[in-house]
Amino acid sequence: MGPNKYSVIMPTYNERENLPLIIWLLQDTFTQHNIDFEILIVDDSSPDGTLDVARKLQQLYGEDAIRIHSRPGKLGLGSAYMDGLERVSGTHIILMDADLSHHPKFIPQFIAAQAASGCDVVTGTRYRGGGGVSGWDLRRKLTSRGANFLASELLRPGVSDLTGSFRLYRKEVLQDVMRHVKSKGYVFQMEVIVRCKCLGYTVAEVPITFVDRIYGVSKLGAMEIVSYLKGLLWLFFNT
Amino acid sequence: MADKALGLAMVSASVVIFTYYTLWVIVLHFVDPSLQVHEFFPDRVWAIAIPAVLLVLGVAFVVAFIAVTMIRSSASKKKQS
Repeated sequence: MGPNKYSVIMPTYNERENLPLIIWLLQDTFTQHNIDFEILIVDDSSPDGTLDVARKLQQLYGEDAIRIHSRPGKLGLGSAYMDGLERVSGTHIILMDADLSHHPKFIPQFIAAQAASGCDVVTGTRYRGGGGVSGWDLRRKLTSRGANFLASELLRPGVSDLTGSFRLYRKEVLQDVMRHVKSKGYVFQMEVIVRCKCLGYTVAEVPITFVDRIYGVSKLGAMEIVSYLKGLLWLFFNT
Repeated sequence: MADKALGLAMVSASVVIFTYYTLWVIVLHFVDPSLQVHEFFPDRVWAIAIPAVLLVLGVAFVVAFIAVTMIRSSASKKKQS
């Protein structure tokens, strides 16, 4: 183990079924690769009892490995990251989904890429070098590609996957970027990467496989598309 | 696998259309007007007309989609309150 410690900030809302699996996968990956880690679960008072599951996992794996921050209600992803940042002790932050769409096996690749290039941010990409998506029909894939294409043309971010949410940051970098970020939802992930570029940080990419929703159903409605377009336009004029 | 087939079909179609359009608008201009090749291409007016119409229809569709979605969304919000 080197001097680096990797903190995973994991916002949860109704992830009772997925949480034990993802935590096991994370600690297994980190232990196998001899990586110093901690996982901070930020739960927004999930009605399905996610917090109880988190507490049991904490007893199982120890309070050094699993930390919990419970919040009074659904306060949003951005504020979950900000609250998480205040409570972690790592040198690097990993942000990822709790619903098993991101597999922890890619984390050692992120860490290696960051160490090799000395970059500030590593982002997982679904659109380059063997990256991809499992579980999407053609319509959803086309929509995602179209959305990314539009965003790339308007924002010129320098990355191939703008809406991805599986990333590794150096802690100071994320703290700096989060001070500037204002948006919510899909657009939030895009704004973070665009701000990184605006602030002069370097971003490397690692191909990942995104697995859509093993439990539960994920949908993309017309209103989400329109919100995305509105958010994109806002980013265009504000970054 | 069906996705790959459909994707390949889309790429092939775009290559064909691109090649045809390039020949039509650029290459054909330098070819002797009496040659039979010209019979495979419509009058050059259509090389502008068709894309123009498609663009207008495309923009109209996008605007209509956004408008309908936003109207439906505020209508359902009114019903809720």
